[in-house]
This record gives sequence, structure tokens and C-alpha cells, in this order.
Amino acid sequence: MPKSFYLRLALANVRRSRQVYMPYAFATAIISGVYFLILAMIFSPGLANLPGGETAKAIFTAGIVVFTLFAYFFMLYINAFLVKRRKKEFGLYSVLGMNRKQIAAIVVRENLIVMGAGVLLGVALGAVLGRLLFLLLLHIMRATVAGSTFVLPRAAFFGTVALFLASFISTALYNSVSIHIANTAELLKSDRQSEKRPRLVLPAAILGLLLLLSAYTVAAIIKNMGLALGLFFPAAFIVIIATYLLFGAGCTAFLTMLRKNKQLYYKPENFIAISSMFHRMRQNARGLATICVLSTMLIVTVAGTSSLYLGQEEILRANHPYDVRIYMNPAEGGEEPSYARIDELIGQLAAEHYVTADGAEHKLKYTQVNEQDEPGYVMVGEDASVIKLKHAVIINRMLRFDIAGVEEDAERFAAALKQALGQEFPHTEFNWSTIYDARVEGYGIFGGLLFLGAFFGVLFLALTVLMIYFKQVTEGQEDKERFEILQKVGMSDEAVRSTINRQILWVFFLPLAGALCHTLAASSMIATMLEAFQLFNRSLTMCCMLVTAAVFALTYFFVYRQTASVYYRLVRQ
Amino acid sequence: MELLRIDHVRRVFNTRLGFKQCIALRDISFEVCEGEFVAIMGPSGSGKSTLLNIIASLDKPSSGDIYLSGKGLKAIPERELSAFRRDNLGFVFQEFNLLDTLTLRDNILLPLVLARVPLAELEARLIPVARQLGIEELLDKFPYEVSGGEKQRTAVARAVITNPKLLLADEPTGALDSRASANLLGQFRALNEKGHTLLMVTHSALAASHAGRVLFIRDGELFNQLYRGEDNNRAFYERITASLLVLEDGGTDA
Repeated sequence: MPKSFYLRLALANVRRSRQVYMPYAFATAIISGVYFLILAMIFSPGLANLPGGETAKAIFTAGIVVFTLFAYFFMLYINAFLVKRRKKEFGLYSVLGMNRKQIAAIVVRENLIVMGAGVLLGVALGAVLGRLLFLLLLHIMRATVAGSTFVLPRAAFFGTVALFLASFISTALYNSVSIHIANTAELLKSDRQSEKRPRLVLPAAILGLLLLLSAYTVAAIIKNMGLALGLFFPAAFIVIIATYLLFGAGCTAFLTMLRKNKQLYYKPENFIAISSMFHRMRQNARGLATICVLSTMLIVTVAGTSSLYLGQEEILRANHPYDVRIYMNPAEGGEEPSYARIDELIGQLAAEHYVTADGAEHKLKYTQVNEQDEPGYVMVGEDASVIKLKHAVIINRMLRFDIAGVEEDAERFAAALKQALGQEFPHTEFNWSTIYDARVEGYGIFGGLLFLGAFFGVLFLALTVLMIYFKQVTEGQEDKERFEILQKVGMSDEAVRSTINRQILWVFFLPLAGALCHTLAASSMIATMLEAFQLFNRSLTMCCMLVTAAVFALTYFFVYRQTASVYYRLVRQ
Repeated sequence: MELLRIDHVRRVFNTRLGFKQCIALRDISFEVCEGEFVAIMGPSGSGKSTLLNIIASLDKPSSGDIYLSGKGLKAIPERELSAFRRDNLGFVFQEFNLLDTLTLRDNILLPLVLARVPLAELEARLIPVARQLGIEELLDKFPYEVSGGEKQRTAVARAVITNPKLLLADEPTGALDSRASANLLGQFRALNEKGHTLLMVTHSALAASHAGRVLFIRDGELFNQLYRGEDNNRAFYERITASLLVLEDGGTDA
């Protein structure tokens, strides 16, 4: 057979299955677009030149590792999910006289077409949106546009292509192998493959429940931030295992219990719903659990990073109780700097320091008070609204003070002091730590984290939507036959409709309910964990969780509405 | 006593663009009495499946009507049709049409549950039917765990558990091997002897030879009919095959 024949067949298949392939390509596009953008940010010289840019870059670099793993494994997962549904079709090809190699050739080309289209679209979108997102990142990091240009780095193209080559080659291998090992008869009837009766349902369900409760309890009682930080990922891991166990065995056990209650079960409104849920949970438990886990990750990531971003001023303040901290380190055997001289210097500088922020000139006054029992000095400006140097304290060679007022003036003052001190005490090393530098650094860290959180949010959302959509489509095809039988046996149209409604509602809101439940249980632990980052504003964290969860729930509902209509169309053709 | 009357039924399908009409049933009339076992035979495309769908109220005739116990199906409003089907008719299909999400027990009980039969009665009605069809031991299995013949007997159990006035079977032996077919047909006769009225569409002369009367349809019209009379299965089978020969010939050389 000529090579172009495979391509033609593959194209025809893609066109025919566009209901499945279009979203697949779109998801690929979103994932590759986001991947491309993160890479572009990392490799763009514009970012590195920014104040705090190096930090943001380091965060992106750490993020891309995790992102690569997620993207890669999900591409494989989705492919496996799609191929499983097509075994019958492959069997048909085989009956029509194609050998396995030829079937594999077609399937691999289909993948190439769909994934290639997805990557092209994604990179194109990334290239178009890159500049816009870079400006947004600058805004988030509160950096000015001047001096930082955004160019699309070549490395971003190569990186994206490399990721997708890797996933393409892996899916191609997986598909070829799974086509090769099956025999034709098996392929033909694989869609009505007899299911194994689940075993060890009750123990697994109880184990899942115990794991979940223990993780929830840990999350609820931990008040030590160090412990919270250390235990968060183990706890999350246990919750993930528990989710899979509960969606599988837990639901089966629960539905078995319902089925045993004959009064309840043998009612028309429950009969079909319970039995098909039973069947569906056995088949789809893993997919639903995955949706639940992804949704939880999305909420936690976005809420966590936005809490940090919104709370960064508080974090900064907690890390820097004083605006300026100067640690004096006299040279070996050198002279201790005289505190009195330092006070004098500060006084002089403050007196010399004219502030012109509001157009008028303001001179700082130097006053001396006793601050508790420690020797300390307070300087108060004439106009408190402009600049105020307050609470200068020297303890154990540490000079600390706050400067209130216009930030540039304060920075200028700090810089002047630094210079004066250096000249006055040449043998003393001064270690400076100002809140201004930390703030710029903070914008890099928290802005970068927020950005990364949003990227991960997009990734998780794309995967969640795709999973939901595929579930609707494949189940719609399966259920069509079932509902036809029910109508033949004498189920009324309305009854069929209400049964469909109930099932969709349950199947699709179970993962959401699970995700919200996990989020609720984790919220206290996350707030405690963020305390390790010096974010002590628990209500801010809770608020972020609430808003993120609410926005996600709304999005989920919208996606559900859209995909449910696809399902209805399939079932009621 | 007359149970079912097919009164000048005609069914015309419009092709997609409506340019051409396809006549599936030209003009068919016949009656089925209570307690009869009637087989309908005919070559592919003769309209026998269309006829069965119309009798089953799954399809509507273009003209003419069906009367079950004197009641015209046309007069039944759409939303009451499913209840009417459930209460009066039982179906057995070639492809079994069992729900793979239900155990055999629940598949059989399905029409009763839909009709809101009380729980206590479910079991009482299930056991004799399952026993008669020899699937008592399999009730807790799922359809994919049993053989084709067992699936079909389950489908028969589901069809008769409501005590329908009329049992309709569409190629019930089409997907079965010869032993399972013989077993199923034996069950049909047993049901018939217990007073059930059966109407079966089939391709197989062997299957039809179990019936009391065979109707032959060709090109949407009733072509011929045979009564068993005093014949045994063997003799009836030979008469049916002879008749089929004439039917397949198209009567051109006559």
C-alpha cells in the first residue's frame, strides 16, 4: 500500500472522530501553549534583567520540571483512554485485511496529525500572547517596562517541540504495542469485555475512609507551621490514594448497600439510577477520582499562590519588622563604632535631608526619648504624612529603624546613611538589609509564584474539562443503547429523561463535591503552612480559598452544562 | 377469541429528500386469536420487521390501524404508549437487549419495577418464571457472565413476567446455536400451551415449524399462510420449506 494511503485514512478518521479529536487537539494546544509561555519567560533576557527577575526565573524553572511531568503523563493517559475505546474499530480493520503494522501506521499518523495541530496552535497562541503575558508579569512584579524587552527565545520553541516529540513517541509506542499484542477476536469484542467482579470492596472502602479521615484529622489539628509544611505533601499523597479508593471501592460498597435495601432499590426512580451508577463507578471510578484530584490541586495551587501574592506585604513586614536593618561588624581588633556618633550622623543626615515630594520642603527633627529600657532614638518629621524616621534602635550592634513616607525619599535617605556610615567607620563592615530590596525580591518570588499558579491552574483546568468531556462523549455512546432498551421495555420518555439527569448530576458533581471537601479539610493546614512563609493572615488565606473554590465551582458548572448537552444529543438521537 | 387485528396496515418511508417513497408494507390485514402461536416469515426486505415494530407500537402505520383486544393503537396518546407497551406486550429481540448494568434477576424484574409492582409480589412472580425457563440458578449473574441461550431465556422471562396479552419475538433464534434455539423454541411452545399468545418473526423454517400458523410476507403484502393442523413438527417443517420455495421463486414460473 502506498504511504499516502495511511495518511488519507488517518485524516479521514480524524475528521470522522472530530467530536473526540477536536477537544484533544485543543487541550494539547492549551498545554503546549502554557508550556511554551513558561519556557519563554525563563529564557527571555527581559525577565532576567528585571529587579527580582532572577528569583522569578528560578521559580519558573522549578515549576517547569513539575509541569513537564504532568503534561507528559497526561498526554499518555488521555491517549490510553482514547485507544481503549477504539479497539473494536481496530478489530474491524484487521478483519478487512490490514495487518497490525498497518493499523498501527494509521493510528500513529492520527496522533501525529492531532498532536501536531495542537502543538502548532499552542505555540502560535503562545507567540501571540507571549508579549501580553510578559507585560502582565511585569505588572504583577511591579516592574517598569523600560529596559526589559520581550523576545521569543528559540529555546522555548525547541523545548515545546521536544516535550511533544517525547509524548508523541511514547503514545506511538504504546499504541503500536497495544495493537500488536491483541488478537483480532479480542479486539472485536473488547468493548463488551466482561468485567471482573470487584474483590475486597469493603476492606478497600474502609481503608480509603480511614486514610481520608486520618489525613483530614492531621490537617485539622496541626498548628505548628513547620510540621504543616513537612506533612502537607505526605498528607496530600494520602488523600489522593484515599480518593481513588473511595471513588472505586467506597462508591461500590455504598451502592451495594443501596441495592441490598430492596424497598429503596426496586422503585422505578432508583432502580436504573442505582444500577447504572454501580456499573459506571466500577468503570469510571478512576477517571472521576482523577477529575477530583485535579480539581483539588487546581483550587489549592491557585488559592495558595494568590494568598501569598496578596499577602506579600504582610510577609515582608513579618520578615522585616524594621524598614532598615544594619548589622555592624567591626574588623578584628578594630574599634567598636560609637553609637553616639551614629546617632549624630543619623541626626545630621535627617537634618540635611530635604524632602520634596509634595513640593514643599520639610526638615526632619531629631528628638531623643527612652524607648522602654533600651537606649533608643526616635526621629519624627514635622509633617508625618511626608517622611518619618522612627524608632531607631541599636541593640547588639544592630541598628534598626523604620522610615515612613514616600518610598523613594526613604530609599534615598537609607542610601545616604549607608554612604555616611561607610565613610565614618571604614574599618567596620556594615551588612544592610532593607525592606525595599526585599520587596523587589518579593515581587519576583510572589509574582512569579502567582503566575506559575495561574499556569498550573490553566493546565489542571484544561485536563479537567477534557476528562469531563470525554466521559460525556463515551458514556453518551454507551448509554444510547441502554436507553433504547429501556424505552422498548416500557420506560416513558420523561422517566428516561429524569434518570439521565440524575445520573449526570451524580457522576459529575461527585468529583466537584470531593474536591470542595478536600479543600475545606485542607484549608486550615494550608493557612498554617503559609505561616511558615510568614503569612499570618489566616482570614486572607481562607478568603482566597473560598473565592477560588467558588470561581472553580462556577466554571465546573458551566463546563458541565456545555458537555451535558453533548451527552443528551448522543443519547437521544 | 380475536386478540389482535391488523387492519389494512400500510407503511411508507420517505427517502431523505422526499423525492422517492419506499413502500415497506403495502396493505396487510390478518387476525391473531387468543392462545395462538403465529410465525411470520419472509425474505429480507419483505417488511416483516416493520410490521412487528408497528404491532409493538414502536412505529406508526401510514394508514390502517392495529387493534389489541379491540382497542385501536392509533387512539392511544404518545405519552401513554410506553405504559401500554409495558402492560400489554412482551418483547424478545434477536440481540437480547438485556441491560448489562443489571443482574439477570433485575433484568427480568425491570418491567415490573417500572410498573411499580410492590416488592413482595416481585419475588413471587420471578421464581416460577425463572424456574420454568431454567435460569433459576443464574439470577445473580450479569448478562456478560452467561451464554447467549441463557441471555435469550432471560429476555423471554422478562417478556412474560408481566403476563402480557401478546408476546412478540423478532428473530429470537437469530443469535443462538442450534441447541440453544431448540431449547428456546421448546420454551415458546410450553408458554403457548400455558395460554400465552405468541407472534414471532423469523427467517428459520425450523423455528417457524414450532408455530401453529405461519404467515408469509413478500414485498409488503401477505402472500400465503399455513396452518399446522394435525401435522407434527417434521411434516409442518416440510410444508413450510415447500412454501418458502414458491415464495423465493417469486412465483414467476407459475
